This record gives sequence, structure tokens and C-alpha cells, in this order.
Amino acid sequence: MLFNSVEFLLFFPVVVVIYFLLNHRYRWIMLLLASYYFYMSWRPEYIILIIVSTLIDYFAALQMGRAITPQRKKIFLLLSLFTNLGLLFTFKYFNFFNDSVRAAFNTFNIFYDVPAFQMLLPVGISFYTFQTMSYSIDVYRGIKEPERHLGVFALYVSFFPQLVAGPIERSTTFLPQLFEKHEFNAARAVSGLKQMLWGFFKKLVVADRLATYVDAVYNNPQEHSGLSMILATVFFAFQIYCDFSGYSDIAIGGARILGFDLMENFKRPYFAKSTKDFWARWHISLSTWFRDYVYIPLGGNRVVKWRWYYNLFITFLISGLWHGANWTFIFWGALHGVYLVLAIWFTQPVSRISGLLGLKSESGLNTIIHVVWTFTLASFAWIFFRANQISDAFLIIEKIFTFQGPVFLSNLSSVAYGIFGILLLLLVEFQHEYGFFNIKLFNNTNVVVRYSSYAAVVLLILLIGVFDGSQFIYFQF
Amino acid sequence: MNKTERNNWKRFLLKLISFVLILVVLDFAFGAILEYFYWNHNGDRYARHLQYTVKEADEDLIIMGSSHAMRSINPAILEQKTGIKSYNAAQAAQSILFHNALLPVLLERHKPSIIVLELAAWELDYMPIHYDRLSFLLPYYKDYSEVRQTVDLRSRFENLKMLSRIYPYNSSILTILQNVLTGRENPPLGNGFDTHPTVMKIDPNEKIAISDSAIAAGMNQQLRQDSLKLAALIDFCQTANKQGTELIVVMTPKLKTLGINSISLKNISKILNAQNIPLLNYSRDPEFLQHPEWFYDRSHLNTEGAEHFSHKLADTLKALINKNSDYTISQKMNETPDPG
Repeated sequence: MLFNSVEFLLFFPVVVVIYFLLNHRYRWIMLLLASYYFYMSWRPEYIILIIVSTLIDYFAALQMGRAITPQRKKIFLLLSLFTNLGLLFTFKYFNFFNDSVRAAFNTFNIFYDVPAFQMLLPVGISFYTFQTMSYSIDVYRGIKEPERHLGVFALYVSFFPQLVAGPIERSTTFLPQLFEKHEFNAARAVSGLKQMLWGFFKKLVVADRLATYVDAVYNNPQEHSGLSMILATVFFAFQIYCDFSGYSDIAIGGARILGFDLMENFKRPYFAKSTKDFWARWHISLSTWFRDYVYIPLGGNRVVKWRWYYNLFITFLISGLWHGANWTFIFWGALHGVYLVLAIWFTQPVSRISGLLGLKSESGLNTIIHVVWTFTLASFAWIFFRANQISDAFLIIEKIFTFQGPVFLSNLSSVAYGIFGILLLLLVEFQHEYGFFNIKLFNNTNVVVRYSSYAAVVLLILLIGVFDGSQFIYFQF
Repeated sequence: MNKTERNNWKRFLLKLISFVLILVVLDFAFGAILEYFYWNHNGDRYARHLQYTVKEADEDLIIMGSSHAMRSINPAILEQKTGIKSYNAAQAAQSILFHNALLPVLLERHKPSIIVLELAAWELDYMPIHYDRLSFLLPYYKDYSEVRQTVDLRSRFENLKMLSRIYPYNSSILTILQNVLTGRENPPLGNGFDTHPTVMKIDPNEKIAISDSAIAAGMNQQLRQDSLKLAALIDFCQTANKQGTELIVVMTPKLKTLGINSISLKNISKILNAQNIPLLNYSRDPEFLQHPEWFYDRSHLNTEGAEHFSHKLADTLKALINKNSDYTISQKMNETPDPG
């Protein structure tokens, strides 16, 4: 079930009302059934994968809790990791791996004919497997006690607002919330609805509107000019941001209405002043996951310099692979790894140049230069993320640097709506980032201003939103 | 539920209901304004074109189809050669789903003698975008049941979305504002023919598209067939037949080979044969393939190409229309060689 569907607009209020009418003791059952229904409305049979992952991790964690020797503990951790990574490999990476091996063998004229796995990628598999793996690792590390309530644990794995595209929640913060009694709180409900509304705006008005232009250009890179490529790339930067952060807003807002606090997943990433800062603001639940379960176990920065660079690069390479089984995503991840290593190398020379130019680190001009530069780097990397294949990405880059030809503008009003959406988004985020104008709309104390701002956003969605029920990009990951 | 929680609910529901009421009023007001400008302003020539087809068209030969028909068939030339008053009611980017919704609406008010339906060879392939584009019919949803049946194919809850008065005019506000503020009155499409004078840029890659190897490549393009489109085509033929309107199906010349040997084309031929409806397939007409300068892009003719094509089509139509006998066009067609 998509958040931007009428089905969800009917499903969600029904869940909220039944949830609060039920006795606290039975609420987990209701939420678990709702979550399974939510997932099964897409493809019922794939619920089996969630159940398998849930049962194995529940059992493995209990055994880890009972284990007397570290070796035995490790065996059950490996059982959990192999199950989750095995599911991921089979459903997400097998065909990519198979094709890559076939291509490599063909280069040497070796016959290789393992057939492709003809299955659809289960929605959200990368999210729920990572969430359950973090639980198993935390139990192994002794950070978290094994959960004995199978039903509540199953709900932790499948909680519908964040099941298919995160935020990837940690058991230490989210599991205890599932036991707490949540009373209906009007202020929380209003705050949740506001966040959901803003999420719908991002998805329907900005992301889906920009998608029409981006798809037209990126699906036919041969036929478009460098200028169109630049415009489509900038549009894609905002499309993916609004698509994914819009989903997170709806998930966080929805959970808040039910009484749960999910972690913040985006913090105005396009106002980041460096790539490091960008990753502290973009898909925070995933970047902290990689930090805690990949980067730090590899040694983090408490190692010799070359090893530190290696750790950074490998972490981002894996992050790229997590996003999709395609060389485009691996390149995207690797590129971010390279950005971070280069940023470390160039920290001192850049500050020296800034000093020579008389730019103070906190000056407005310095901030603008850094924000624009970071956005440019992120956008350049998005080319690999969005391109249908790696050769397309290089063609697009070549075209961008040759800079020839007219701008593709087949539907001017659609482009205008998209630009309007971007400007409004930037204005709101600029205000949140710097508090420059001191204008409050959604949180204004004046009820007329507050209600007018809610109504204006709803009207904007109705007037210029896209209602074709398109999927969220991150569902495929 | 304790007292505090009950109070919380009450407060929240009160706020929510007030807000929903405000929204209903605003939606009604904005929707009414948009509706007024949609029906009463001439700025949006394509909306006006559709309005004319639905409410006014009284020509005896009506052309229906997509941008291929809109840009390639000049009704003035057909009129001049056949002596039948003609109108091009084609709508850019639309498919048989759209035409099938429009036909009964048109026939309810006026019965033309001949309908020329333009189809692409890939017409029956499943393309989700064709369902999205049915949104162009939303302003007619309320008044025409035939339109409702088709528009409801867009999603399960289209009828719920239509509770909003703004929704049928979604995305039209900029055009309306622009037209109203600038006082712009776009010239109507006249007889519905909307041509492009530009000549397609031809590079070596484009030439490949007209070579035999591209035709062979076209044979491999087998996309999933859309059963709803199949049903729509059958329905379209039967509706025309029931109303006693002669139907002729045309495929315009194209440089691209997409679908030329597709299942879609085979299905179209099968449906038309079963109903004895002529198919004039010019999509690989050698005369046009030898003149890439007659094209605006690989699937649309430019002004010069449209003129050549309209003359050619008019000659064929004229041959089909036997004024002196009781033959119907479909019977006559069986004696005429396929021009494609």
C-alpha cells in the first residue's frame, strides 16, 4: 500500500481509531495485523520473508542470551546475519551477480549459463533486514536484552509506517516504545498530521512533478542536450530528496499520531557545508547504521591514515550496493567515498586558501560557497544514482561538459510547477536552517494564520500535485 | 479511555472537523472558479478543441486518434477531395481508451457518416501513462457516464477523488492564470489540424531507423498486451457499427520501427478483420520512408509531410466512397490493394 494512495487515506484513520479504542494489552496484535495487511496489499506471498526473518532473529537472539560461551553466541549471530543477508542476496543481488559473472566469463569465451531468478524484488527488504540485523548485533554485543515477546518483536520488524522505506529503527530505542501505553494526545496528533501533510506536499507537488521531466531526459540521454541534462540532474536532486524525505515525514508523522517517536531521517541535507555534513543530514538512520555496524567495526578513524581512508571508502561502497544491484549505485557509493577521502586531504589547503582570501569560516559568503559546492558534488553523484546504466551516466556527464543544444521544455507548466515546489521547499528549509525571516506558519500562535497555512498546502496539493499514484523511489531498495 | 483522553479526542475531532469544513468550502470555491475558466475561456486551445468535439462538432467526417493524426491529417484536404465536411478531433498523447470514451459522447449528439480512427502499431501494448492521460477527460466525468467508466480505469478510487471540485482541473491553474492575466486568447485549432513546420534533424543514427536491420529489430519488440485496450478497440468498432457510422482505421507514416511486427498490430488486424473494418496501414509506406525531410520527428509528419499524406489518404478515401452504388466502404475495401 502506498502512502500516496486513497487506500492509505482510508486505512490509516481506521487503524488510529481502532488502536486507541482497544485496551493497551491488545494493541500490539492490532498493529501487527495492520502492518501485515499493509505489506500484503502489495504482494501477499512476500510476507513469508518477513515472518522467516522475524522468527530466525527472535530465536537467534534468545539463544545468544542463553549462550554460555562466546563461540556459541557467535554461531547464532552468524545464523541471523546469514539468513538476512541470504534473503537480500537471493532476492536483490543474485541476478546482478549472475549477470556480472556471465559478462566476465564471456570476456574469456567461457560458457556460463546459470538462469536468472525470476522473482520481483520484495518491497522494503533492505530496510527490514537491516533493522532486524541491527537487533541481532546489539543482542550479541550485549547492548540489548533479547526480546521474549514474539508478537511485539514481530511488530518491531514490521511496524507499518516505517516497514518499507524506514527510518531504520534501533531496537534499543524503538522496542521499549512498543510496550509503553500511549494515550491519545491531541497535540501530538496535530503535530503528526502537520508532518504528514508536509510529506505529501514533498511527494506529490515536488517529487512526482519533477519526475516527469527527469524521466523524459534520463530515459533518453542520447536525445537531450547538456543543458537539459544539467536541469534534469538538479531536478533529480530535489526529486529524490522530496520523494524519500516525504516518505519519512509521512512515516514519522503517522507513527507520532499513534504515540511512537521515530528517528529523524533528514535534516535539510542541501544546506550541508561539506560531504561529511551532507551524510550527517541525509538518510540519517542508514548512515548511522553503517557507522555503527560497518565503519566502526572496521576500525573507523582510530587506525593508520591509509586504513582510515580504506574504511571510509569501503563503507560508502557497501552503502552504494545497499541501494541497488547495479553498477550505477556502486559508482555512486564509491564516488561519495572518494569525496570524503579527498575532503580530508584538502581540509588544510582549503582553509589556507580561505584565509588568504580573507574568508572567515562563519562568513555568509563562505557558507554560500560551501553549500553550493557540496550541492554540486552531491548532484554530480546523483547522475550515477539515476542513470539507467553506467554507460548512460558517462554519456550524460560527457554531454553536460560539452554544454550544447537547447533546453528540453515539452511541458512548460509542469516544469514551472516543479520549480515553484522547489522554491517553496527551499524557502521553508532556509527558514528552519537559519531562522532568517522569523515567520511561523504551521506553528503560528494565531489560529487563522495556522489554519490558513494548512489549507494553503492542501490546496496546493490539489491544484498542482500529481495524482498518478507513483511509487516511492526507495521502495525498490 | 480516561477523562483526559476523552477530552483530547473531543478537542482534536472538533479541530479536525472545523478544518475539513474549511477545506470543503475552499475546494468548492476554487473548483468553481477553475470550472468557470475551463469552460468559458479560450486560452487553452487543446481544452477548447475537446469541448468543440463534445459539444459542437457537426462534420460528417470525423478524424479521431493521437498526435499522429492531429499532426498528419489535414481535414481541409480531405474535404476538398472527398467533398465531405471534415474535422480532426484527434487529441495528442491519447490512446484507444480515450477515443473509446469520447466516441459515444460524440455520437449521442451527432452521427457522422465516416469516422477515421488513427491507431499506432503499438496501440494495444500496455502503457500505464495512457491511464494517467485520461485525466484530460476529468471535466466531463460528472456529466457523461461513458467517460466515467473509462476514467474509473485510472484507479480504484477515482470516484472518491472526484468528490473534490478542484481535482478535475488539477494542474490547469497556471494555464488559466496566464491566459486570464495576460488576456491571451489562443486561436482555436480551427479544423483540429495542428501541424509542425520543423524538419527533423537527420543524423546517421536516424538513418538506421529506416534500414532493413531496424525493421528486423522491430520484430523483437513484443510488449505485454493490454486487455482493456483490446476491449476498448472492439467496443469502439461495435459502437460505430451500431450507430451506422462507417469506420476506417489508419496508421500514419513513421520512421521508427517500433511495433511494426508486434503482437499489438496483429491483434488490431484480427479485431478489424473480424468486424470487416478496413485498415489503411501507411506506417512503412516507401514513399514516406524515402523522404525523412517530411518528418518533424521519427513518428510525426511535419507540415510538408502532412500535406503529402493528407492528399494520399484523401485519394484512398475517395476511392473507397462509392457514391454511385450501395457498397459500403468495408465491402469496397476488400477490392482495394493495401496501400501500406
